[in-house]
Amino acid sequence: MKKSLITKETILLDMDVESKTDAVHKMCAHLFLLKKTDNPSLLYLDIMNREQVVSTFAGMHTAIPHTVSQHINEPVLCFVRVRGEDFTWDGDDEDVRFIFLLSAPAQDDLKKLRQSQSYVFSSVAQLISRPEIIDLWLSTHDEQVILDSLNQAFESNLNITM
Amino acid sequence: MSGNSLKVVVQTTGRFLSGMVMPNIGAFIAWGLITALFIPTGWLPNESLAALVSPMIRYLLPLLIGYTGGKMVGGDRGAVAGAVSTMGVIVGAEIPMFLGAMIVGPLGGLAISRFDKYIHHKIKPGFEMLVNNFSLGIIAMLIALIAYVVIGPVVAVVTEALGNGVGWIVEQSLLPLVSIIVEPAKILFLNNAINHGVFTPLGADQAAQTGASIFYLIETNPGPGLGILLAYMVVGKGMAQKSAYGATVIHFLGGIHEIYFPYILMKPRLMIAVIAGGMAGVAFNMVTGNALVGPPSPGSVFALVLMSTKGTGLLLTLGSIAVAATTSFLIAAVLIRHDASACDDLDAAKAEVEANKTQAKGLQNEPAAQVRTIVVACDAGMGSSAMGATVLRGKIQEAGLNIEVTNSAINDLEDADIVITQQALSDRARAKLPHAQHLSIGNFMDASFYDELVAKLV
Repeated sequence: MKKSLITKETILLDMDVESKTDAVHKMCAHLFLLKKTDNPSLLYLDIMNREQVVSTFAGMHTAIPHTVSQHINEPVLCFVRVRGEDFTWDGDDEDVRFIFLLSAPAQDDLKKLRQSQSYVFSSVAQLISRPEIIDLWLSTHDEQVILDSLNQAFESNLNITM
Repeated sequence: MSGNSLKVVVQTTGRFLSGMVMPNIGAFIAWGLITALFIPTGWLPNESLAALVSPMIRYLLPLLIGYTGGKMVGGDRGAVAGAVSTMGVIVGAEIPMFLGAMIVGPLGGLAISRFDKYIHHKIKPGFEMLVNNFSLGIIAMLIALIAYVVIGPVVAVVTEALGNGVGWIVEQSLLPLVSIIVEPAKILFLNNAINHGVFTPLGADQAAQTGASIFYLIETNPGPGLGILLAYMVVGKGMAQKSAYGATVIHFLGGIHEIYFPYILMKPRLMIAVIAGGMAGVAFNMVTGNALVGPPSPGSVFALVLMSTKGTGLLLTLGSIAVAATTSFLIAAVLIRHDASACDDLDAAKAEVEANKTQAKGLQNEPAAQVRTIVVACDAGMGSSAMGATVLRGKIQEAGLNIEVTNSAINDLEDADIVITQQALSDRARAKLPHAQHLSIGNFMDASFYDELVAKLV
């Protein structure tokens, strides 16, 4: 399960986006093409509802939209590198280059689900605190490089917590 | 420092009380609309539909408040215990028992959660269901009986004392001062008791002799509450600001004053604003000799206009609403704006007091012994809070502190010494875990925030 959470297909480099809504739209559409969701517009609504509670801008040029949704078929992490440096997530100071979209299907024990998915953003937090990783993510043209850096962090976090 | 801790107590209590009411505002609106429409003085008088009014305010609304109060303290089981306990005050009283529900609801929740904690791990396998159901039933029954015998009568006495206080002030011809009792009593949902128990009879006496009475204008003037809601709209922030627009319509046009009470409970200092607004309105009516011919019910601008005396009465009534609203608005705006900057300071001040205490003791390990768990919480509990917990955990480990750092969804918060949330979510977290220390953060990757926190804990 953790291997398929993020794949090369869910890593999108240099996406042209105008706004947060545009970005989330495009990501949902992409997940639809990958057959991860059967209903991208409802998935989009779930994500945006979460954004309305409080923005998922995380600092360090990163936003982490996420939702537990009935409209996703399996847990999926989608990575987007935004083209252009003037894209902002929610306001003037929130410039974002990387978007991590995490969605997992609802299950009976929500608490357990949340805990089981926490390692993802724990890893992201560790990675974005390291300037060399940010540089790597900004400069690479190979999805595999990004995939490796993420999977490495996921594995070390899973080993600690399990 | 004692002033500061008093402030914290008042604020926490106020937030706690409003936390019991806010989720149920929809029910208040439903009741308010039914009242405004169907009572004999309503827009579409209808005797059979108006039969809904009394049971809703006597039973439904206090039960909902008691249920929510119990839930805030003791989760789902606490909610059931809270509702059952509330029945004790409802049945024992003649007036709608909001105040009583706010006391016994959380009490029921507290009793069951204490019991649950005590018997945790002590039940033999297979007997959990039996013990759970019967313990809840028996404890809820006991609290309901106590509520019926003790708490209900105490609240009734308090209400009566307030009524007597109002009567005394009226006798001394110090009418504007009556707002000092009336406005705070309203916020505790004693508005109907005071209005119908004190002012309507007084007003009826006076109106029988002179054709109109100022007593009808004291509790019913929507001005002070309007001022509060307008202040939230103009200088407020977050949910309170956004919801103030709708609340204004319900309050001012619909005459359902209950809707603005939680906004004051959230910031108890706003009591000063409604008292001043009330006093200004009463003084205006006293000086101009304005009065109403009958009790305006509900207290909406339309009902007040309809009950105004002929000629200039209409203008004077509108004038008294405007004067009261303006006074209350100006004071509330200053207080809310001041609070907006002081609010963060409050948490910082608390942390500072803790830090000072430990410094004074000069014991290095003391704070770590006080703070055992820190929970970083967000809405979903898997995104932002996971990042925050990771960063903080790293810093706590670096500092060599033995503190557990976890992340959680706000709804799953169970126990923590310190809870860290984003500002917009702090109120929810406080409501869920009132006894923890709550800190607000801008974004979860803000390293300087964690550095400061760790510095205070070391």
